[in-house]
Amino acid sequence: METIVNRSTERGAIKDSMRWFHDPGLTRLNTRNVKTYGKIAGKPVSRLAAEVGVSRPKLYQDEALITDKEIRDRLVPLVIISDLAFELFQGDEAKTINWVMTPNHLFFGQSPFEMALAGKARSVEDTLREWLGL
Amino acid sequence: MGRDGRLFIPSDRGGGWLIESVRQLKAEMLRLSAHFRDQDRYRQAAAKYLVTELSHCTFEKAWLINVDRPVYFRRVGQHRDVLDTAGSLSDGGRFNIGGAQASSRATEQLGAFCGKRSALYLGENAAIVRMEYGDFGMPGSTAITHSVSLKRRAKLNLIDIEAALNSLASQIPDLKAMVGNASMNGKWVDIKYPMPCQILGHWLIANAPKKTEGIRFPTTHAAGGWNVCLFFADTRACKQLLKAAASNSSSVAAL
Repeated sequence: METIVNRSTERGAIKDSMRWFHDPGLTRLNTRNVKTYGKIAGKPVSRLAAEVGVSRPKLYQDEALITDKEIRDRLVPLVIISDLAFELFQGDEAKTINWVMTPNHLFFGQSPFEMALAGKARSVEDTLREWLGL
Repeated sequence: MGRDGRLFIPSDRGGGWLIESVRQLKAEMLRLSAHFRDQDRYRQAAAKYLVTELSHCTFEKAWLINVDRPVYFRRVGQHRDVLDTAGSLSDGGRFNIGGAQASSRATEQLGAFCGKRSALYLGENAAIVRMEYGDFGMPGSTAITHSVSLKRRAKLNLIDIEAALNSLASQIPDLKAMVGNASMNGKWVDIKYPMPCQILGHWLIANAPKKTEGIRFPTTHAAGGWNVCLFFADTRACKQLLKAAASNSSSVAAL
């Protein structure tokens, strides 16, 4: 995964437009942004902290180093989904993150964020690619 | 992450490293994964119950309606054939079981109630199909809304799902709640066991008079609005009955 992610970021395939991570290698999770995005979507900080698996005080820190393969395998698709949604909203960050964090009827009441954490990002990604005409 | 499975978080005070357990994050991932597994278990129990109950029910002609010279709408990606039913045959849909749900386990457990069908889902107007499609408010979407109408015939023979549900509810009180309001354009490929709405759709069309073409059902996106699910043997049969044209509605383009 490390190699694939690095190659993808080198080619510009993963832009991380919403800056979920601090680095192009997608290892240092940007916890400050995670918290901000939760607020945009109206998620209480305590709920968001539970969803990303950190304590509420930790969410107020800057970053978390993610090297666990299982976690990265689910967070990287979240970054890709966010990139595609960012294109669909033509660079509107607030609308992008609101879409990513909000329960969606297409995914049977799960948000794209939750689909990614559940390891079911593929159908979300396919949907966004179809909308973009890719 | 360290060998002990812990996550290192740099502190914003003093620059040292704090240590945070990853167990919470993994637990959340497992919770979400379990959510999908629980849904599968629920679906199996619901399907078994519904199949038993429906086997005691009979189709009533009072549920049938004729729609005169209908014009419906369908929104698809720009590279998709608007009248192609192959996707619904593989993925399934709200009232049709697809390959994603028709596993050998489901076929064994549900027997004749688990039959794959291809279908085409249409909306009453362009605004409804855009909301059903899900790209509402996304200016970067290249998807196209098409109008769809009958090629030669004047009338479409449909089952009114509300009439059927109201009637069947006297024998299966939980039916309306079980059928629910699942999305017409949901990502059905993720659903790995037939849902009650799919089993009901299969039962309705299998027991309806031969010339019945589909099911009319209310949209969840606009009060009083309708969608239809039309069943076909394949894409060729669909194109024999229907014709499509790109819709130029300015009100749609503005959505």
